[in-house]
Amino acid sequence: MSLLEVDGLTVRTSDGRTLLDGVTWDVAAGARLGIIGESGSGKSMTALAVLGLLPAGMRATGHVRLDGTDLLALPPRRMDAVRGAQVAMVFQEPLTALDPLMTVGRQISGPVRLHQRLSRTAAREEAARLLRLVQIDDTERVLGSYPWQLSGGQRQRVSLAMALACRPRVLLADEPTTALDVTVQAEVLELLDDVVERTGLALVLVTHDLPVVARVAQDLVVMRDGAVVERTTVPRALAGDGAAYTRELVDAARAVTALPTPEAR
Amino acid sequence: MARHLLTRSLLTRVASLLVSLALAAVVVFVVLRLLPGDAAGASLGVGTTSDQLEGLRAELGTDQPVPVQLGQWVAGLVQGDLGTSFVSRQPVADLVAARLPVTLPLSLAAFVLAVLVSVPLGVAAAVWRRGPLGVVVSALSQLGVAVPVFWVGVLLVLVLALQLGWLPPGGFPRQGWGDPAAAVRALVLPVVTVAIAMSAVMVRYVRSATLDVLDQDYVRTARSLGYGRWAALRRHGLRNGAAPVVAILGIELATSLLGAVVIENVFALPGLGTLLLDSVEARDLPVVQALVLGLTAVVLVVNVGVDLAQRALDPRLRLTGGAR
Repeated sequence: MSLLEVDGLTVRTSDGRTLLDGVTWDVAAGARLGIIGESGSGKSMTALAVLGLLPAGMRATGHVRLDGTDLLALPPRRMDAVRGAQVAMVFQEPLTALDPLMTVGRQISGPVRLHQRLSRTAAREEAARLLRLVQIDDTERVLGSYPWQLSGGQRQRVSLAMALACRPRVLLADEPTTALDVTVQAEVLELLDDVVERTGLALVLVTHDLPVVARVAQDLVVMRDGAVVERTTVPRALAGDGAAYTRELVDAARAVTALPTPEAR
Repeated sequence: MARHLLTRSLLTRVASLLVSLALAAVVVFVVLRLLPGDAAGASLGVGTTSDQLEGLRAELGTDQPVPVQLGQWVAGLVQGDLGTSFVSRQPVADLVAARLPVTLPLSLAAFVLAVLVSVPLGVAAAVWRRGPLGVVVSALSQLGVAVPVFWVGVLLVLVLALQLGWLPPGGFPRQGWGDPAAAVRALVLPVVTVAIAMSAVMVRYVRSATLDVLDQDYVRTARSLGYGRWAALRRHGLRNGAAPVVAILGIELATSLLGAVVIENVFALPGLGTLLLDSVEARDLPVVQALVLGLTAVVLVVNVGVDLAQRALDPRLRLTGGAR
């Protein structure tokens, strides 16, 4: 049974341009879905539309069902309660996604207290636990730091800890490794993998980077120009079965990086 | 280490403040001596002999070379002596002290009122930028900025004082604050006038600072974690929006004093502004230079205060000694 079902999701601007056209996919609890496409293909917009956080002047139609409840039909207040607690998101650039004037401790314990009635100290302890979950060891120092005092990799771990703060069932990760150096990328991907393993949440990984998807995801949605080209699996895509556009993406990625062959997985 | 940097930057600020003040003193003094006319001529009027003029000039000390006069003035300032009026022969400090009970409440009340009006309006105009409120606030603020402050004062006097008779059109009770009700009534229209002019400017800055925060990724992050629109703005906007707004508040605090100086003349209030104009007319240079230097000092001190407030708000300035 799928946990999150995106069904015919369409986004239009107020002047009538169609940005997303009938996007349909679903993801089950504990599963990892990759959404891949070039920039401008609408993959990030899909994630924002699922969360109901489209920029002003854009309207989403269709259905986004979480356990059967249509999120697009929810009144704003009920949707606020879904965000963070049911569906959370990790953004591409952790430096701007975190508030520069707020310590990490307050940034993580805030959402913890928002959804769970916890005391200040209990929320702080929960924040420390979350930091350990994302493999940050010197929790006390990091909790007292401002985001700009941390390294890029640490910042993205902190973002992930924030997103996990309210124990969401679905985690949308929008290019979570694009702003990081290659070695740190690998660590963060491993961490995402580990978090899914441990928490059993459904991961939706949005990226332009095929090797990144290949490392983490099983199911694959290929997007182009605001529409889904095909729904497939990572092994099938790597084996060259399926749509011509998917093969193009795979070949292009093979030309610059060593992609695992289907047998090696 | 952070504390050490803070102390050092505070000392640097105070030192540069003193240098600026000294420069301002020299400039004010020299520029005023370049003006045509002098106190002796102004007070004796037409048809006086040059002997009389020379006598009065010797008495006032204006026959001395300018550098000597400057030295005497600065020596007095350092000892806390603002000088003596050429006209009334009273200490300048006493003249200023007599006028402060009008100007100080006027400018402070106008400032507070302007903050109370412009901060909520500016935030609301940003949040509902496409709604009717946003449009109306922007239009009113454009209008308020375009219209000169004294014209607003004249308009208010015409309607609220002369036509409706709700408030006095000008003047200040003879007993001053000895008659508090009358003193307050006398200040209402001037305060509102200055506050309108200030709010028009401030609301724009508050609006744009809020818009800036609303566009930030961290506000979207907060929304993605379940904070509502207002909750996200409160959580991240207060500090992030405060830094630019504090800078404007500082400028506007100084402006409120200047606005009071202008508007006192519209409402015939016995404050620093009327004292300044009267003294200029009489070429009462000690009074003029003390007032101009005093206003300069207020602006400089407010700037240092703004700087310290921004450091307190933004840890990046505090912990890295200013460099990002």
